[in-house]
Amino acid sequence: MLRARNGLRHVVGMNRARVGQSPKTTVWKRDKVELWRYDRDDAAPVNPPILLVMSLVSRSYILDLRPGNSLVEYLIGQGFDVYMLDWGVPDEVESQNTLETYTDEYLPRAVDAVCADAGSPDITMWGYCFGGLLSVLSLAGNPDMPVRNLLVMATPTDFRHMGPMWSMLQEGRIEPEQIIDDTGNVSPDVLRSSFKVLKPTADLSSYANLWQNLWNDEFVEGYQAMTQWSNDHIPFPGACFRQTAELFTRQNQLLEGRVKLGGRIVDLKEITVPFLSVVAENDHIVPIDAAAPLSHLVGSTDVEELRLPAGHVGLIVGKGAHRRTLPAMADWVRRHSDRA
Amino acid sequence: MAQDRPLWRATIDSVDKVIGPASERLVRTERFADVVAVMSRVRHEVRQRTERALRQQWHVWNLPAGSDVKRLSEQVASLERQVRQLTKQVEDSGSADSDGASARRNVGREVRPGSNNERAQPGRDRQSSPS
Repeated sequence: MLRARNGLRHVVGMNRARVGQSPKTTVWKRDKVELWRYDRDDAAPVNPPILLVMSLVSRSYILDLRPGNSLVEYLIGQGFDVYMLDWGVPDEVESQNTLETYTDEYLPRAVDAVCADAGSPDITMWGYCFGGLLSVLSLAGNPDMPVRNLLVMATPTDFRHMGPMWSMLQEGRIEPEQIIDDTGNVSPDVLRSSFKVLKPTADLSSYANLWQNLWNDEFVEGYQAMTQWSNDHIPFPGACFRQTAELFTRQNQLLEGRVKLGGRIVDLKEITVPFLSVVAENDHIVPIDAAAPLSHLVGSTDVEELRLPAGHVGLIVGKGAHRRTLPAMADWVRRHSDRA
Repeated sequence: MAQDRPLWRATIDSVDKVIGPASERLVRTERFADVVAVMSRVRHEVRQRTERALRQQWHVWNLPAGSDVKRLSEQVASLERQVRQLTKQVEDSGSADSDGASARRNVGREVRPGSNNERAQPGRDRQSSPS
């Protein structure tokens, strides 16, 4: 009976999962970019505050998926002040946004806004996936930014290992213009397909799991939330995509640690703050070979690489994340923070 | 644990075990890349030709084509970008006069009302935006 009810709800789409539920306040806004401060009932016992920087191709609610399964909630529970930078949903207006728009315009201002709002002289920057890459480039290009620690998770560095779409771009089999749509952006459908092709049979085992646990309300709710997120991509600004294809894929500049951005060379050695790169051992989106080189490219003396037995999303979502990965990351941040 | 799995699940798992890695290898082959590249080029070319043909037909009847709408839409987007840029310049110059930290990078803070650096107090009335 439960199986029939949940199955029906799933098929007709009645069970749209409630995601991103942690209470928050928008404290800064520029164009479509918003900075959210997550509410807490008391003063944070740990300083500095954490700024979460999301990828450009997916929704930020993955970092605050559901109560009991949320990175944001976990960090607040650990005594941190948590902020999130949400890029919004790009359209034609944002199609001209370049990497510099994010690394030199939005991010430095958002960091200043966090400091001003939290009354803190500096922050811990925490980037996920492409957000990690933006964080790295932003700090390397603006080394005077008040960032005390930098933590990046599943951050692509060597694009040769990033899967078929990037390989084809690298070899010149396809051109960025063939992928960019009429709005000047890479459409969410293309992004979804490029991820799905990495694991063509993923849907099969996913549906089998759903069928087997269809009687279990909690499982179904979690499944809905994850499925919703993995199909909920946002357009990737075209100008940024062209640069990514040229600089990181064809020229592989990241691997040399020096990237030409904004008419200057951004040298990753300029990053001298404590640095943690978290690499997921079972990541099929940013494989270990694509993410691992990063920790050797920064100039920090305090560098750690944490290899965790998880997938790309399993780093932050699920029981394994709450048991292993989140405590390990929070522990690193705590060791590099002050107790109030 | 494996014994607890129903037969249908065990069957799916064993099929997935065989097909999964094989299909993952397949999508990383030269041949797959060739096929996708050709398909992508053909689709791009067909779209362009269709657009061109339709544009000619619509223009014969003095009607706007999709490409005209697209061009208009691009112009509106460009205009909005210019307005944004001007707004930012005005805001940034205003903030730079009053804020030393911002002046360092010609940064304008658009901190909204209510986002002072006060800590959240229990019971304090706050505007929250659970999305």
